[in-house]
Amino acid sequence: MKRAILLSPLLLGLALYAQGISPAEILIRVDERRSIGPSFGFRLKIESYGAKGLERSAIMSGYASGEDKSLARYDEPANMRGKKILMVKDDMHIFIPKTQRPVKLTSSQRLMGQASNGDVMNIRFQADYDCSVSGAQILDPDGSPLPCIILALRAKRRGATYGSMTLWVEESTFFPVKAECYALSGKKMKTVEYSERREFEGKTIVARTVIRDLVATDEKTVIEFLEMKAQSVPDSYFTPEYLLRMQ
Amino acid sequence: MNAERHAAVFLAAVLAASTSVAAEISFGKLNIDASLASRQALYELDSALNPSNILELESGYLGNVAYSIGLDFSEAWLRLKLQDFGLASADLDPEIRNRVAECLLGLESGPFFLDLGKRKIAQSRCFFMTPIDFAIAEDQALFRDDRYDLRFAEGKWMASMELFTTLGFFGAAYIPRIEFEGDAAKYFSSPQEERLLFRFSRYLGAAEIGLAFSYSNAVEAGAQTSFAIGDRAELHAEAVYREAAREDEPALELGIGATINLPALSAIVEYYYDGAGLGRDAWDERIEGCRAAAALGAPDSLGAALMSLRPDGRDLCCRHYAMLRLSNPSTETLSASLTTIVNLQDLSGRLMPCLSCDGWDSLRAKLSFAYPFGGDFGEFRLLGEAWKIALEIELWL
Repeated sequence: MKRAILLSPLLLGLALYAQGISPAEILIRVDERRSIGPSFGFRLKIESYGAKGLERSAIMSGYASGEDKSLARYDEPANMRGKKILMVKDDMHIFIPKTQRPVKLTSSQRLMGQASNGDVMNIRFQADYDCSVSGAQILDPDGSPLPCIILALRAKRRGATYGSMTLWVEESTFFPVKAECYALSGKKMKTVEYSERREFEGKTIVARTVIRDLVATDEKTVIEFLEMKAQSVPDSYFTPEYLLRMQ
Repeated sequence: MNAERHAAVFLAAVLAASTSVAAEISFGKLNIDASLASRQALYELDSALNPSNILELESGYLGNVAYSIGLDFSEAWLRLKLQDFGLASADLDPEIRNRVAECLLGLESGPFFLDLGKRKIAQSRCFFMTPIDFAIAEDQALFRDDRYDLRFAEGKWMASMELFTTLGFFGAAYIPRIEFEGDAAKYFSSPQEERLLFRFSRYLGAAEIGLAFSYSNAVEAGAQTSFAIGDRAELHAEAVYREAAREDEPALELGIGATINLPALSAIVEYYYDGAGLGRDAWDERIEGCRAAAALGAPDSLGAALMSLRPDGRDLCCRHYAMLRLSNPSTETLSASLTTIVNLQDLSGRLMPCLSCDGWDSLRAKLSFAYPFGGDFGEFRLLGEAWKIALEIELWL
């Protein structure tokens, strides 16, 4: 049975006010549930599905630091091995081993399937979006009622992956549950399900994200964190020159 | 072309498949990789002025087999790397050439890196010509040559230091003069000039900026920048001043370009200016020499006239060039691209369409075609093949 109850944003706002939590703070807590800390190393799998099932997959490993810096390297498949991607704010480079040269990308260039570079490389909402509470809803993703806060996210800079997002957040834990992503034009582009939680180094985070295209409805991309560990990487390494050095 | 030739072309196109095999094995921190690639290209020469025709080569194959062997050992503070490659050609001048592309001992301490040995340094963000890359082989340019896939850029022997700081990236290198001759040059390493090289780069707001300074008998200094424009475009530019570019005259070299990514189409457009290249009058004068030599029908005179077009062996002779590359988004399974390079002085150029199928994890197939345009006395017709088609298959194990 699907049950959805819309609550008054005013009532919800009062409830959150009573807890002393602003929408921006909710977003910070959501981000805290998407990674184990401000700087970390990771290994993740990306799978791209089409009408006939799994079409392509890749395994990447790398580091993320602060709100807007990440470095990642393809480990699999064989024909992508050694390619590396750097993302600093809106600036993105890819390093191709054959050429030994960083090549600048634009943020619209996709990584694989429905996953944009921003989907994979940028895992902090607070850097890219302003936030307000737009309502509440009880979802039942696993057959049991799950009270959620609905957040309206609006891009605060042009380089954000989406123009705006609607984000459902579990009220009691601040885990993201699902999202709808819109282009700058307002057109709905993708839906995202944050479908699995896993513990890394004693902290439970969202480990699996399913991104569905709303135009090509057979297509979806699954991003899954396989490993995550606290790791401090100097900010000075997030440069195109370091792509050559990254092991 | 007569029917017999059509048949030969068709048969050759079918047979022009090539395979390349690459393997990578890891033993803990030691990686070993090896690859073998062959590219059998079909070409036609119909210009009497083509230097290949002077060598009495007729239409047919250009056959190359290339191999590479790599060893890479990495520890937290130590890196040992060897990359060796070779090319065997079986057409014009059958021979095997081997080069050590990279061979270095790398030491790391925090943000400080020291490399001793042979390595490549690439700083440019341009795709077509890369003027700011003072210490790397010219064939590193990405789209200039359709033979690119079988060309391995060779590094230089050097002592190189790099430092990553919050102020930016600093690099310094000393490249000694080494005169490899005979078999050493043919099978081991190319000769190199003494050079001092300093590099700096950092982000300035949203823009990436870079500076390079080099001294090798004369000063070379360059600056570059690149930045995003919205989420669908980026702009890159670099300028280099050479104190003694050609015939010891100072010259400016400039590259400026943009990448634009639309949902179904990606475009790279670049303009390249070489102040040391031949201007319109000088070029026309030399072309007249070629015409006169062709009218005489004397191969020696013709060869000398052609040599006068690029006395210092540069790949490009003139001052103004443009490159345009159109492609579908690069992550699509089947990608098509159309690259064209144009000499803006004589409007000759090379058109290079390419189809690439990248839908498998361990296999890639690529069909490429190159066609020079601009008439028999255009730069690209004079100094290259008439047309060429090649099919490549790459396999990873």
